[in-house]
Amino acid sequence: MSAGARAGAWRRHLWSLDHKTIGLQFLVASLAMLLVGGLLAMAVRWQLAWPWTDMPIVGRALFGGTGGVPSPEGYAALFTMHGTIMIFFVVIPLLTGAFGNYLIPLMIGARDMAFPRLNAFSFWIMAPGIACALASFAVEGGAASSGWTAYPPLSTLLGAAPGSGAGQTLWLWALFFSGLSSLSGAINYVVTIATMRAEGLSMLRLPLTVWGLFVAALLQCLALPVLTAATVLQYSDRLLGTGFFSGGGAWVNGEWIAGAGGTPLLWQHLFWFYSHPAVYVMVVPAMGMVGDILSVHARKPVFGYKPMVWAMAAITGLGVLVWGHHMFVSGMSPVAGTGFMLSTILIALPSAVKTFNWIGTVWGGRLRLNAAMLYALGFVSMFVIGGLSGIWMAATPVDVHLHDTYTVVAHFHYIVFGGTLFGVFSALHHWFPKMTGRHLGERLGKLHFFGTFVLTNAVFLPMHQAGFAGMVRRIADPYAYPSLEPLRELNAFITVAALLLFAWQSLFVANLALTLLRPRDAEANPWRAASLEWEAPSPPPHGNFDRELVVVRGPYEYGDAAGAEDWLPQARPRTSEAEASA
Amino acid sequence: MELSAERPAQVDRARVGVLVFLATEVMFFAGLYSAFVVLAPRREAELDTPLALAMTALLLASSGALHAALAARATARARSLAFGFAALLLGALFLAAMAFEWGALVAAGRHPSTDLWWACFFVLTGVHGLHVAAGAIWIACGWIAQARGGSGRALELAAPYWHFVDLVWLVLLWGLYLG
Amino acid sequence: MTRVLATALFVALLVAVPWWFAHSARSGPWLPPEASSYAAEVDGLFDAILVALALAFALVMVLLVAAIWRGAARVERARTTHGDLRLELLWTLVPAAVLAWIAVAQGPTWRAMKGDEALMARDPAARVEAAQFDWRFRHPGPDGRLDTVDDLLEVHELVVPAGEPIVLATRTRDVIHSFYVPDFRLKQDIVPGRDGRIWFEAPSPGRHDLVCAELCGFGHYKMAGSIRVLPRPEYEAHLARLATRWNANGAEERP
Ligand code: HEA
Ligand code: HEA
Ligand code: CUA
Ligand SMILES: [Cu+2]
Repeated sequence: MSAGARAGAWRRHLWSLDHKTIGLQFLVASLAMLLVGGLLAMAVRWQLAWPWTDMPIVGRALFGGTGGVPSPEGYAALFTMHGTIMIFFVVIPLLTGAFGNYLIPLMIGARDMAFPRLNAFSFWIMAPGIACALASFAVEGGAASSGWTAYPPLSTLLGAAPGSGAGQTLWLWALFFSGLSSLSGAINYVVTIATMRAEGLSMLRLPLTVWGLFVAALLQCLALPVLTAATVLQYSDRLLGTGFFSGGGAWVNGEWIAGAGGTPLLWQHLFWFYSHPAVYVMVVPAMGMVGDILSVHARKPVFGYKPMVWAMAAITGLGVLVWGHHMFVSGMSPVAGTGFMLSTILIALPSAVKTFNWIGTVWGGRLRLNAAMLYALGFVSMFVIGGLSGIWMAATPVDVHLHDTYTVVAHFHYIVFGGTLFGVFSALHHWFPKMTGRHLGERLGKLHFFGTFVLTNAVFLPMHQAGFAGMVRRIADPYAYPSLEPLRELNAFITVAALLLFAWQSLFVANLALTLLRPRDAEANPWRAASLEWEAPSPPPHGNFDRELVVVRGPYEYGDAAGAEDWLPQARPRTSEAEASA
Repeated sequence: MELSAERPAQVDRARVGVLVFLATEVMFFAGLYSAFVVLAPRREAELDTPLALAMTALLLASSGALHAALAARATARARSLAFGFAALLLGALFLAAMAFEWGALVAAGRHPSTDLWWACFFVLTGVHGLHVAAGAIWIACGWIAQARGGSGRALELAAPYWHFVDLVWLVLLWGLYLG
Repeated sequence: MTRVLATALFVALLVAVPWWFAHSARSGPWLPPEASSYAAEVDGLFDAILVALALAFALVMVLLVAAIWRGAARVERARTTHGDLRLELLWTLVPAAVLAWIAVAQGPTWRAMKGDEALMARDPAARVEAAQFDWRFRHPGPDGRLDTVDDLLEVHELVVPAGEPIVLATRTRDVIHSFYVPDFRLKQDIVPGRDGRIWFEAPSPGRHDLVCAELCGFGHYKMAGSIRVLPRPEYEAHLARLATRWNANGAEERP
């Protein structure tokens, strides 16, 4: 085809309103940001193992002035932006943006999202957010350096930290844009799932993937606006000097800066009111996808579908009641502490239910141990480790010691990396044939899994002990404390493992590249899976389905009781137009 | 939403969307307002309550006008357009009154940085004002579309939002001016 | 092939995690020495929960490994089942019981750490003044009251008597800091605009790291201090020495 025509095709792709294209756009953007966040993590690790030494690549890029040696505030910017990017521009857009967009309409038998324009908006509004995040490294004072939690007054007193100048302002804008993106997406998902399901597809016939995304969207609608409100307040503190979060005032560089007398704890409450639910937004969709994948490749129905759904609902409900567990030592009243301890302990229950139902699903199944399945099983084991360590921290007296130590860092990396990203890798292997018409390479995929599995544990398991021993987070040089000197080897070990882990991801990148170069090899339903998305061609055309579907059963009819071929499709083509009215 | 319901009955999706959006707006203002509740700053009575009541009247009247405009949409187009325009006008008047109030306050040396109470006042009324402005633009677009012979669909969608903005204002009136 | 590798991998995890915990419990890194009256209680809770978590982990992993090993070799179809109410109840109620126990068990320790009114109402032995990036301590002078001209100031090191409950008042001069003494299992944020109270009792003399646990700026990593616990007499001797060495007119200056 002519250059002009090709350019035209590209433009059509770029500005497409099709949920599948937008989903892929989210996928590419967040994978690219994953690379950035990963590089920042490597820089963090380098500093922790070999403080104040010439840091290759990232160090050279960011601290060229000092020959690749980071400054203490430079280090703070590293982990602040690492956390911010990973959460707001990698994991959340990956789950809700990429998979949410791609899968929801296909899995509910719809032709597109309820509001395609709003959908495109939710992707493109993320661009300025990413721009702000990346640009902040270049501004005077450097990127935001008060942690991804941006606690005032450190984040609002311009003199208190270099990054609290222009960097923090850009950080607030980055969060604002990512918030708009998430919100417009969430509204779209809620309406789409609530109103556009195919004929016969009741809520209790929805695949768990859709339930997970639905629950996550609800959580975002409920909680995210509160974070937006908090950023508005912090912004006005910085811009108009309102001092909602300033305590009495502060001595900065020898001069007294009066504060209007607001309280820093208010920010913490508002921030965690969203950012705890956010952690469930970061896992519940992955839980849903893994549930489906386990079932398909174990050739066995999801065990306890209804308990699974109720568990997700419970996680949503309780999710907005536990935020205080991040504030046990903040000076919050001990009674409130006890309350939040109880709700936090309680929210472990639905997760327990889900865990055992995953096992129930694979138990006695006829397992296909392909890459997708391996990653799904990996997800379960990693999530359990991360989740269990959460119980320690839910116990207030223990958390007093563990708070802001590496035990917490270990806890959430097990879930967000070992859990969520494993879930994402699993989902990619599972749905790549649908998305592109091509199977991701199995051999490379498995190799990638085995290495990533081993290295993930090598990186994050030892962090627990570092935390027990009292190694606090967010310190540029642990060995400023003589008592942490014994951890030198441990930290060096973790760092080497982390560098290998990063390098190992090249197998994944290679797999993507090689696969996309290969000709299409996937039929419509390569896994013999029952849910609706497999009724569409691979990849689905604009409008998704080439025939009208009527859903006649649940999404998990596998096993000996299910038909001649050990599975029954969830839907059948509509035979007569007469049915349409019925 | 009935869990075991079969395929949902035909619903007005855009309307559902607007309602979900309003739910998020409720949480947004709840977040902002919580600052006012938690910090509970002391109020020095220096507000022009009569003006505030007048502004309330403007906003409520505007909502009423929009309602009338929608009611008359099918039957009496001219009336509908007239009411729609009235709604827009009243909204604009509210903004003008607000600008006047702010001007007077700033002239009297009241700033967001004066103390916590004024911080809450300016941020809350300011954000609400932005919402009124956005709503006014929404209605303006809807009105033009209708005037061009459209069905006034955009106005119909704007209505719940416009009433919601009133509601927020009533809370502010009660909390900031009368409270 | 994959069957063997995968099973081996998950078995490896099942073994490696407990092994590493046991190993580090023996030869570190592990919880620091217990140097406060409630440290042992906290560690007891920690250990008890560790046991519960270990059992839960082992249970899950054993089931997972078994399912993989058998499932990967299975040729006949899986039995179609959509769940089992009795099992659901089992694995809801058992964890619920464990969790309920954890919730109850921690109560007394939590109360002990927070101290009762009577205790917290005592006159503080000193006030901690956190600032970017050092720790300052203000002892009441001979007049026994804080914030008077004869207050005794020290920087970086807080000296306290052994074997008696110590109440400290806390205050920050700028941003949030966190008063963390790992050996005491004591951590408390110090928030601008709020004067706080903390307490501990160090049974025996010794020196302990004081760490700032809340990100407070570029110097956060080196905001180190220490707590020196002395027998009563030596403690009083120390204060006396302080009092003679300098009077506190230069209040904010360092010694
Ligand atoms: C996707 C992310 C994710 C998820 C799912 C969770 C899940 C949980 N988290 Fe985590 N958490 C984070 C991400 C996440 N967290 C992050 C990012 C932080 C740090 C933020 C920061 O400060 O930067 C954090 C911090 C954090 C804290 C604050 C620590 C501190 O700073 O002092 C606490 C305290 O209670 C906590 C608790 C929990 C609990 C109880 C769960 C539970 O939901 C886990 C439930 C799961 C299980 C329990 C395992 C499965 C169950 C069984 C196998 C049954 C048997 C178990 C028993 C009977 C116990 N988390
Ligand atoms: C949510 C997701 C997430 C993820 C995935 C990670 C991943 C990693 N993080 Fe994470 N981290 C956080 C969220 C996350 N982190 C948060 C919220 C904080 C707290 C910040 C704060 O305190 O404010 C934190 C803090 C934090 C610290 C503590 C810093 C400190 O307190 O001083 C450390 C230290 O080791 C660390 C290390 C790592 C490592 C080694 C990885 C590794 O897993 C990274 C491995 C590498 C990759 C995953 C990238 C590979 C690239 C690809 C696969 C891309 C392919 C690209 C294309 C196809 C284009 N992180
Ligand atoms: Cu002071 Cu960290
Ligand atoms: Cu949390």
